[in-house]
Amino acid sequence: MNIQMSKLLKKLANSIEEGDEEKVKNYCRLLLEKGAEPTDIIERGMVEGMRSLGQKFERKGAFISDLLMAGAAFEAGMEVLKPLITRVKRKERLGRIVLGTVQGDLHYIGKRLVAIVLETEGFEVIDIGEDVSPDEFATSTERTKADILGMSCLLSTTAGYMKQVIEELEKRGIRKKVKIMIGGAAVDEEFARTIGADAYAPDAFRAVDVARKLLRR
Amino acid sequence: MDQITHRERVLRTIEHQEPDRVPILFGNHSVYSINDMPPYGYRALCEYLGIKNYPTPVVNPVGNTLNIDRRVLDRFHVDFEFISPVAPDVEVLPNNLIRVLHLNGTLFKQVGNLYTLAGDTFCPLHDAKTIEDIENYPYWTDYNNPLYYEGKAKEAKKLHEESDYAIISDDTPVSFGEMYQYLLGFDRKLIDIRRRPEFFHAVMEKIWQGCQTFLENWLTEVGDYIDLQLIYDDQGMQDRTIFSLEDFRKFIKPYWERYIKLVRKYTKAKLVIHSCGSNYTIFPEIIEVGFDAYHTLQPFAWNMEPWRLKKEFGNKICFIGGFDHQKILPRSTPSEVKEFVKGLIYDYAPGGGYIFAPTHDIGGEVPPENIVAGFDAAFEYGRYPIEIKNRPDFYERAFTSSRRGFP
Repeated sequence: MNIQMSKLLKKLANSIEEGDEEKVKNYCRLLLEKGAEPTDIIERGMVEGMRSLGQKFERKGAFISDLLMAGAAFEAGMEVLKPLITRVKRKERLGRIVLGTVQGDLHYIGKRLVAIVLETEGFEVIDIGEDVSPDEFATSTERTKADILGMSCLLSTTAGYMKQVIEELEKRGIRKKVKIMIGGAAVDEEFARTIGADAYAPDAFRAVDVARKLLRR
Repeated sequence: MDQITHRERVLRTIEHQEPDRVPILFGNHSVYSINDMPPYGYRALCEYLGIKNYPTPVVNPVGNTLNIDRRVLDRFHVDFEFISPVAPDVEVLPNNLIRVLHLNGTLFKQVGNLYTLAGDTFCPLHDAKTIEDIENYPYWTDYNNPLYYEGKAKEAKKLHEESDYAIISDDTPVSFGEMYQYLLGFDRKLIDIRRRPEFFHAVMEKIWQGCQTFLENWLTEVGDYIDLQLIYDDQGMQDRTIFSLEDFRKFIKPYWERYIKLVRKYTKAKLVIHSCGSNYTIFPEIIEVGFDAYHTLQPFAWNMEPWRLKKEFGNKICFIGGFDHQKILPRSTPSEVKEFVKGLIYDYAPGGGYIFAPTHDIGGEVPPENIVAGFDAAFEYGRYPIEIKNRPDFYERAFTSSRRGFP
């Protein structure tokens, strides 16, 4: 990879971090013209930008507007690259994750952020929405053969449903086939342990570390 | 025996004086109430307290009891009463949706027994792109409708003259601070401030017009009789503020300033801001715009430890809240609750400037014995001069066992 290409990838990464969709699309096109592989553009440009934003987020130097903008910019870049990715395989998917907000709770932003970051890192995310019943969680997990089930919850009043989901999985004999991670303002590590979940993640970026650890990826 | 009136106790506290005891807030408002839902909730609380023949709970769409029996409030030594506009106009729609007409047609969705804000796809203006879309929206509330204010001046006057409670006036029927996300969705708000700031401000102008009309009418009726005016506008997440400080200053603060300026024209009432989550980085702004008091004090949100807030901002603003509804209320024993409340009093109460209250409405999952233990502890330990010698063990551990921790 030549210096010019590296510089363009760096600029692409910066544009992801800034959430600038137009710039991202332009750099993706430019990189393709220069002969860069779509997988390199994704991994060494766009994902790098997202990771850099993640570090900034950890230092509390970035906010959820930044994350949503970067997510949209990432998608814009993928639109340019997608037609080519079917031919050039993106690195193997890290795992399949079913995500949902528990019954009685319609909060979605936190879950969406988790989905954005997991997807940019190469996980396959199936978002099954909000107000999801234990039955629906279990059925989706079973049907999609998910590696991880992620549950989100903002309200302390509905946190109890997480336990019911786990009980439903046990009832169907599939609890051991899937790792369970939880997140949201109403829960914490202690709560995860109490209900028998495998892990808790406090924010979208740490959800990636947790998911990797759970699947040993 | 109480030496001074409830109202005096509250007002002295806000002025950073030590009255006879820490005032206590709980009651008929969506962020200070208790849910009427299983397994516990309002009914279980009444039963636990041995209060019988209470009126059937009247609840708002999100499940909060709005007619808590005064016997319950008196049992908890509550120093407040709320006054709210009349707001009964709700339209039932298919797909478990309701349209709340006094909230500019905001849609709520039924989940289980409750209604909750319906989420982005149901926000009536989620796809609005131009200011024409905003102007042409048919559900802008006419806040000149006398229905909203009917009988309220009389009610406020009666409360003011015949009771000695501190009276809180409520802006829920306009929800000014949060109306943007009600109508367009939170995702839109987060993105619009960056991508189309002019559009954002244009929508806020439209929302403000309604709010201004409401405040002028409402405060003309009740302004002389109220002690506190409450605005709510959540700015915090668990680990930081929702917006960067720069965005906050550009997109939120100017509207708070307007709101405060207008309220001050009509009433001498103190101004309270309710904002959930971690608000640490914007506390200087909250103080600078002129709020007299701040509610929630979620102790486990980032940098919101009581001793930190008291030390850094305690002489500039009155604190309301701290009685944690996320972990302490639902997941502790009554004796732990008592210890926690003792710790809150130890940190917040000296020198005045602290009103004890739950950080948010109390959910149906909270056992009544925990609620009672908390309010009893606030009354027991909140007597001035504060005689607690150090932070109780449980309280300290609650903050140190893990970052957002729980013992």
